[in-house]
Amino acid sequence: MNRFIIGLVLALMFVIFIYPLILTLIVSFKVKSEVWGDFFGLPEQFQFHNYSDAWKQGHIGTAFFNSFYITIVTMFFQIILSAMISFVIARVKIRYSNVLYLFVTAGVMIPIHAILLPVARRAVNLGMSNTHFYLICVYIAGGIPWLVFLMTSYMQSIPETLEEASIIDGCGLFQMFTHVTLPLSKPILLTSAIITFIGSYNELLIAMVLLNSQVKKTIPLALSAFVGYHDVNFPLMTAAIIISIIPTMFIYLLFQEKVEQGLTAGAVKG
Amino acid sequence: MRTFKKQNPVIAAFLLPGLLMYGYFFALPVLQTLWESMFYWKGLSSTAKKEFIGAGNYIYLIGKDPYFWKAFGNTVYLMVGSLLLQVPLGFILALILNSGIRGKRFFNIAFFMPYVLSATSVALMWRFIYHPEGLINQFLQLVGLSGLTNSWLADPSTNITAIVLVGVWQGAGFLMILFLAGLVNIPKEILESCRIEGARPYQVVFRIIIPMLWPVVITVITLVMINSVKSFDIIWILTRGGPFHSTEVLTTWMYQLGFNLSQPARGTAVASFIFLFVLLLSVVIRKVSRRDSVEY
Amino acid sequence: MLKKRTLNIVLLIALSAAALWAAGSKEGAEESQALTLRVLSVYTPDHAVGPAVEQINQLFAETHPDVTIEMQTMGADDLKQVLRTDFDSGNPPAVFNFWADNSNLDFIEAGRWLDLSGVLAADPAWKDNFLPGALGVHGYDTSGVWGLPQASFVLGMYYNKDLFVKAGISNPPETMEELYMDIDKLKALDGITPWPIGNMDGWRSVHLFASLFYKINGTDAATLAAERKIRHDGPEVVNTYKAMQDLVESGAFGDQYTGLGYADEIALFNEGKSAIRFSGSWTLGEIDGVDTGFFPFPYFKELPQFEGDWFAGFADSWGIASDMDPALEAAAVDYVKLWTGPEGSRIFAEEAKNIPAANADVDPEKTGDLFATVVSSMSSITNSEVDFATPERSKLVADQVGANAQAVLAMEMTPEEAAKKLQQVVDSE
Repeated sequence: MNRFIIGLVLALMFVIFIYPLILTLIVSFKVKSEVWGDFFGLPEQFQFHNYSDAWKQGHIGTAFFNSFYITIVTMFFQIILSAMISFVIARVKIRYSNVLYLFVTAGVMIPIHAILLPVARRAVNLGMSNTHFYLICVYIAGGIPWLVFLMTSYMQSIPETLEEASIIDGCGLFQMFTHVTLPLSKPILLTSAIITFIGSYNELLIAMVLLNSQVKKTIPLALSAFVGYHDVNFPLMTAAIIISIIPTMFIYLLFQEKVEQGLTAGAVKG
Repeated sequence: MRTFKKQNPVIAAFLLPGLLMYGYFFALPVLQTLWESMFYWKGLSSTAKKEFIGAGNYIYLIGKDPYFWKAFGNTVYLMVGSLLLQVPLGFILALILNSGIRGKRFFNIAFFMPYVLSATSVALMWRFIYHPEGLINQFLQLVGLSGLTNSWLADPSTNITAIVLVGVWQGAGFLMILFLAGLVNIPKEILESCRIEGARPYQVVFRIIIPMLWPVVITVITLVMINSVKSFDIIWILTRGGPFHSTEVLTTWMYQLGFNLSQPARGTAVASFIFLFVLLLSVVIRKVSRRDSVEY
Repeated sequence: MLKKRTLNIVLLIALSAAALWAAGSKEGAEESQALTLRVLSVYTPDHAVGPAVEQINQLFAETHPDVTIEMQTMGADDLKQVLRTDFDSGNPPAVFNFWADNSNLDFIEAGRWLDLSGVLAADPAWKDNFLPGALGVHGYDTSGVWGLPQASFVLGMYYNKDLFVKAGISNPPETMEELYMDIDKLKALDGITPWPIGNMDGWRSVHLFASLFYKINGTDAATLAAERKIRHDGPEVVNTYKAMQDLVESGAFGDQYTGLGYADEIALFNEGKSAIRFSGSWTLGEIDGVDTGFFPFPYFKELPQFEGDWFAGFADSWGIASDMDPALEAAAVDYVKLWTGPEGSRIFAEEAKNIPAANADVDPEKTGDLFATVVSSMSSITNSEVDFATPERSKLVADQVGANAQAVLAMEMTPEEAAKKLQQVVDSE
């Protein structure tokens, strides 16, 4: 009986979570008039050309390249810098670690729009408006609070025994970090990778304000090209959405396995 | 913890790059905004003459601004609604997935899927769903409940709740992952021995699991509160804070003031208010949750 | 083992840093070469005017081979935000779209926009080719001309000829009273909503409010309200709200209108599920597959003096940033000249079926009958005003006008309540 209820709940949840995506997929094959006309139905004919049209019209090829490049560089630096800060806060007894922690994690509370103007102004002052470089720097800075928040609590929960052992073995701080803490933190690092990937890949507002050229556009910007003055070209936009989701899904699937492995390995040890 | 005195340069090397990035590109703009919120000006922020008025903007917001309190109320509603719905949902899903069912990976992916989507995509999908001719109404008509059909996003009595649900839909999967990470660390032996001793499921959950997961629970709660207060993109694309400001929240009102209503000073004040409000919430949560995590 | 690991990490960091740096410097180098004209426009490829963009950009490239056009397009909302941020941060586009709006004063007072009266005076042929009134739209009570409209428009009623015949309506209505009778006839048709209006999009209800206001009080009353010579809780406003709610109660809009948007209005009309569309003449390019006619917004039988008071004016304007490199500025002026000159206006009209703000030799084959009908109807305008809030100086009041219109149309406020709230906002300024 229990099993049955659980199964039912799962099935219901599954439908609720997945159906909107399936709906998007269906709409992406429709013609504009079919969108509101026959809402639930399958399209008369599958308009595969929507995908190639969306690709061309939205300059998605370039956008992909830009988004990937930006996201990967951002990911790398965000994780490394945050891990280093978290390590010090979690493990090293320095005088102002509490203040430091509060200072960094306070950033989690800031809505992006609040700092939009100062960020944009600084870009111009530095002569870096419309550069990927500045955008990446802002992304890296913006992701640090959240990651430090996550990583510190994780690192704090790692039993100190292994690290103590490494010190006894004669390791310095850096070696302890690279040989013990980091490997043990794999699950949180991979989870962070997923979070930062999604975060910078999907970011729209700052990119819209900091990037002006067609050739520099990121995927979210490319998507916004389908929003017209008065309405939205749903078939093309949904096609573009589906196209843009594929990498994120792929990354998630890839990393999710490793996250699982990391988690279960940790559990066995504990 | 050791005091690695001799390794101070190493410590500095660890801290400085991240802190410098964060400080210059993020913290500095925030401090700028906080500082500017104490001034009044009109027109373009970079050229206008700013007059120092201390708490003047805030006093205006509290006393004379037509929609500040509406926005604040909606924000609190959003926050409470998200907490009450998203957290238990994420937790339950995590419990279910951790209970050794088949196809765990499959469901894991399915429930996390919404989190992967961009705000634009999510908002557009849900516009479809909430549309008068959309998924929900069509479904109601199908099962003969057409009397219940509504303009979900237009009706002030339903629209803010509708928005809460979108947030729940997108975020529950992520919470589920966080909870799972914690659940996995609970040794199976403890749960087994409880079961053997005849403990009912809900006792196990409330007496054992939750206390053991307390740090995770607090993290999740803090996260949901902060994110719901910060939430902007989805609301903006779904309703623009409308119709007639019925779904206005602090972030959308901040945006309107700054970009559409030529009130940059007050917009900055709302931004600072959001930050201070969230800061207060975090401090309160920390104080209230002063409970040592269970050692095992 | 240790050393190798460390070496790898250091190398990786160095490489990424190098990549970052290269990206930064390379982008810097690129910019300094060609003359790049950044155009921030609302004419996305999907817009009705989209096809015209390509043609015009090509024409421009032929006469200006040394200029590269960087076309940045987005929806109106995003555009307004980017425009403001760009000017505020000191990174403005050379050419941009904007609409009549008193928030533009922010830019003008800061001296960020180019005063176009100079270049207009230098080219009388171009200047005189504009329709009367076009150059006055963006004066903002200064002596300058800060923008040039691309389109002119009138608000009116577009109707499905076949459905009218089916409902037994022989002639489109001229008065509101006739309109009510026609709505009844249309309601009798199965599965047809007479006149859906998308209340989710704020500007729809505001346009309806303004149109009714002009027919009840005349267009001058809008200016009087802005000058605070008539009260916002007076009978002028209250009666307009009442007229709006009368329409709702007549069933003209159907019962789903609160949740519909402008896109839905278009879709329903194009699919033959609605009979009347209230919209601006820009919509000519949005109508598809329906034999469509046009009739002016009806006037009230007891108020025939306002028959010629229309919601009409100019839209989609071009502006140019000030303080640019002279060569760039010249290119920007030429670009705008192309768009708003006879050639650009012709392409604009033929591609988008949108009425240009300047004279053009359009091919009636390409623009169609409906276009001609609308243009000829414009001769019966005696007084025109753009939006009710156009002469309004306070953005907060303008915003409340909009919020009120939406709420009143959704039957969420009584006319008196709404008027009172509006007056409150006016008084608090």
